[in-house]
Amino acid sequence: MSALDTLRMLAAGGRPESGLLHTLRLEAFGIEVYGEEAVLESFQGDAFELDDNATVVEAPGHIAIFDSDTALVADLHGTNIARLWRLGGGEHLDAERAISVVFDPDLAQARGDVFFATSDHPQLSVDAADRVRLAGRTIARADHLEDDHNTYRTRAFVIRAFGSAVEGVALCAVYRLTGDPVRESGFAMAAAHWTSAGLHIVRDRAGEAAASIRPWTPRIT
Amino acid sequence: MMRWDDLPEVRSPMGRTLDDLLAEGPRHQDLPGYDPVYRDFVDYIIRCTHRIWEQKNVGLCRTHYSADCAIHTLAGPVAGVEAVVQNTITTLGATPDRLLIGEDVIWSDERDAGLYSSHRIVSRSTHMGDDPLLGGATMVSNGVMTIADCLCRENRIVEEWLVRDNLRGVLQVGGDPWAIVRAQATVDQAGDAARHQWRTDAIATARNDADVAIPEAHPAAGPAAMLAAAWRDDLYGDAAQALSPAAEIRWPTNRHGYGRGFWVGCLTQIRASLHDVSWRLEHIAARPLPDGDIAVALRWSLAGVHRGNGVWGWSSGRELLVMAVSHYRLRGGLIVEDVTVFDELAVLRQIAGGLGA
Repeated sequence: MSALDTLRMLAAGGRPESGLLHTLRLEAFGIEVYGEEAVLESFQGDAFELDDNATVVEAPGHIAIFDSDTALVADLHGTNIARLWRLGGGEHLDAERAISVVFDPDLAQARGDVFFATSDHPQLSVDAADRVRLAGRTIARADHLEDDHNTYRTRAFVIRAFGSAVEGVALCAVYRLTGDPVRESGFAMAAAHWTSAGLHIVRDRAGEAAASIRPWTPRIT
Repeated sequence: MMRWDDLPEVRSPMGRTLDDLLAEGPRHQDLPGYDPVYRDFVDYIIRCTHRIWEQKNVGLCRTHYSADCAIHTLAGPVAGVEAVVQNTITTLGATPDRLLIGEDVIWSDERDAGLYSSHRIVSRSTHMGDDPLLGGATMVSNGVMTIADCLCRENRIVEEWLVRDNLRGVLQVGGDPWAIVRAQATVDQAGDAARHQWRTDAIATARNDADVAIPEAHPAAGPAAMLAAAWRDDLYGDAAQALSPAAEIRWPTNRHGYGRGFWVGCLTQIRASLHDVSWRLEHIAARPLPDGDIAVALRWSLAGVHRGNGVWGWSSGRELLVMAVSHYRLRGGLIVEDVTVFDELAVLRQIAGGLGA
């Protein structure tokens, strides 16, 4: 069973005949679930509708599926899915309690948009690095242009990238500090797919909604 | 002496299916005194955990721990195999469907002392029964990260350092951590205080003893230098250069984020509460991972005086001990993932006046 077949079946809420890695981790709707049963439960509760025209991009260790406003991005070991991110809309879930970490994402007065090391991404060709930086910058700066997102600071951390200058994928953990008088802070995902025709970005709107309502608790109460 | 990357046929569990991990087969590592079923040391750790916890053959502890084994936790030591058996059964009594999913086993050959494993486990379970730590049954699904460092000889764990993210587990089931630790501290303050001498001794060790030596060209050198630069010299920015700019960071109590700044934030949040800090590196190990990545395990301890108000509440003035294990994934010379575990609930217990003077 190919990784794509496994992913399609899982996305529809089915258990692939070849099974799933017991260490499978899924991030979706603003929460993270772990293990075969919990991942299946997530997709069975809300199947991921895959359009026949969805775009599939693969590289050793990676696969991504893009629709107009949704995406699945996965790490692979062989054909086994090791880790999975689901991006798009949907009802966010209540995030697990956490200690909020008080931090400065930049560590410099010269503020940056994108945090990216090419050495993290062995399946990214050298000539695609500028495409990744552009994707990250577009994700970070687009926030300020959209009416629905009152953003003071946005940073894109490129955690997965693969492909070539002609076609490739980047997955970013996006840090936001809102522009409200009392700011909100948190991470959500965004994925970018580039081709020679242009750049397509899918934001994890459900994850963003979950991050925005997460209580700020930098202390143990 | 074995190098960290010798015996590549003894593979990490990372990316392997459960069927592959539990398949039986011929031995391909010299393991004198170990049961024939174990193919190699990684198999020993993964398989015996599965047999004891998931197959519920808890009595196998009696052939897999030495009679006088010492288990070090931040909540206090556990001595002897019968205590291990009882604690395992108690845990299964509250969370009977508990899975102990082994994410990695980072091991080293300690020559005459034995083989040493640093076993990173994600537990998944349903809180079906009453539990001394989690409280009355809630039927909530929960799961936390644990790292068990075990020194093993001839099929038996002879010493173990166990760190579990207990505070996260308590929060998952809606528990009140301060109420729990105050109750624990009240019990700790009664009776013979000598039973808490271990903590005083461990703080003295963290403050006075030298770091474990790191062999030349060992992958642990970079991460160890990073932690030393941060905890000893407060050079957080320099220390963080060992990380990828987009590194993924997981620290206890669900601290999860990305980047060098987030890592610095995890440390300074604690350092702001602790004054007069001493840090000590206690053990190192490294093993190859698939696709050229390297896994590094560091066990370390931190001692400091709780004089700052912050993440752990108002300053208590108590001298605190933190016992931690960090697992790193290295790629291209940089850390791309940091999983650090310590028992933050046991830190609160110290702040509440527990675990001795």
